[in-house]
Amino acid sequence: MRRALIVTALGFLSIVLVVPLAVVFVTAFRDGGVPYLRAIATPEARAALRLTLVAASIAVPLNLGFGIAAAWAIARFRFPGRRVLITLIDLPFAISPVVVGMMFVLLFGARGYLSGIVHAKIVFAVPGIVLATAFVTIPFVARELIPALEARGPEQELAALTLGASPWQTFWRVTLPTLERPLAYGAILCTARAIGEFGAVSVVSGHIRGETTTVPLHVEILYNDFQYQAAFAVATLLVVIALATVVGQRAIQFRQRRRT
Amino acid sequence: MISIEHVTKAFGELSAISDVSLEIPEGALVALLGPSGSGKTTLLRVIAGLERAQAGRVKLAGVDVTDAPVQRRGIGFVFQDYALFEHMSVADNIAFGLSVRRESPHRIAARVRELLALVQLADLGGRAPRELSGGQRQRVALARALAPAPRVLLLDEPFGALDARVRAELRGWLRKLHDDLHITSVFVTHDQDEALEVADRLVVLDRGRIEQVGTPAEVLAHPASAFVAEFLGGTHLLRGDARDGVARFPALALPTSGSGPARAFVRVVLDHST
Repeated sequence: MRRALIVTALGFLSIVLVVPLAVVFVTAFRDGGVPYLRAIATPEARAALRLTLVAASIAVPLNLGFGIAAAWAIARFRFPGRRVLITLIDLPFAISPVVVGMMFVLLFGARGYLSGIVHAKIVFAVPGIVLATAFVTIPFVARELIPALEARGPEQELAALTLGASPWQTFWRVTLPTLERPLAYGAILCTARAIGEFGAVSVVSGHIRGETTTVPLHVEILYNDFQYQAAFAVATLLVVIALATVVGQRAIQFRQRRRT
Repeated sequence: MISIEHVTKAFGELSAISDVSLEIPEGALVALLGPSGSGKTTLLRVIAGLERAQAGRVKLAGVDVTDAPVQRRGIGFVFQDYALFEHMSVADNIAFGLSVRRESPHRIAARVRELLALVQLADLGGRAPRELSGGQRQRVALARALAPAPRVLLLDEPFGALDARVRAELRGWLRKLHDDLHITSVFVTHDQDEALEVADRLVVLDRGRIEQVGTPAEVLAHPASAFVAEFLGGTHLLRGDARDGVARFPALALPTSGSGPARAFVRVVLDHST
């Protein structure tokens, strides 16, 4: 019985996870190391990587700030609209990324609702990609912080206030340091999603090569051009980021277990 | 001195304390004594500024602090579960109240050493709070609260989370600490023995109202109400009938002006003088 379960689990994982991952690497290195390096060093690939990093480095800090503020408000205060806020934070999980992309096109596109007000080019340009990335990564930080704050309770913060600390000092010196781990955890998940996001970014991108393509979009373009080896070579970058995310999570969990 | 004037606090529909007035003299060690739900912790938190009263005034040393935030009240507060900063060392916990006031590092270090010695933890400044026993954590919490030299020390169920032996030890120790420092102190407890042993004055609360204020001897000798007599323990309840100017009990009759069912609280006092 035990054996059957283990074999089933491992068998399933190897069919849907390990073998496809192996295929990515095998195909990427099919023609050797030089074509692999050449594929990830083309100007388009480098531009895609740069854009992906720009989008992530704007979206992640934005959602760190928002996540901390929202989680603190939700965990520590009772206010009208609190339940609505909790639900809204989860909304990006529920909405299909394609719909998210279409929302931004409808709002900011050439004939969008806000096109008369906002004249800057947002859709089919970098700002649109940043916006879409920020939207789909909203839940990660707040979702990690709310349970951590609720589990800890407000006593340490109240103690800081009784000792004469201002609310701001309390936040920096008491609240934030105790959130180190859930914060790192949320930031890692948020970063991974920001880098890997495809659907929403695909809709707002416009697929202008070397300008508005992120790494996942660049992989798609190469693949549709039948450049399989190059497509998989660039895809290995995403796989490595994903693996680093999992390792990072594990490391945080491991440290947490050792400290408690 | 702490003056509480007609303070009322309710949580939603639930009244926690209603129209409570109380004077606590400078340098006293006062116990707020009552069963759970009597409003004793709420009263303590209103004094601290952790709860805002809906009506009434709170004055500390003659200054009206009713609308002052907790940081400006000059109080030290010891939480029931200590609320030590888990990510800081014991010494940093004690230093916290001084460093947020931007005292010089030199003076902070000197004060932390002094307080560690006062609470008999001189060698444990570098430890993390989770490495300490319950009694040690309690003393760290006390040292941390005392560090900024508060005018008033407030303690919420200070011995609640400790086992019986440590509890007895800390009671005596707190009493002695107070005798040395003379800081006006108020602590909340539901344990009458603790209150009688440690405090110079008792404030007995029931259902959000003060039943009696007095020294332990006064309250023991002359309980102001049936509730106080019963809550202090050591009494026996006799049930009987009052009629024709006399309340009669199976083995006892007392003069009374009332009539109807009667209750008598009898305390047995051992008198060795005869």
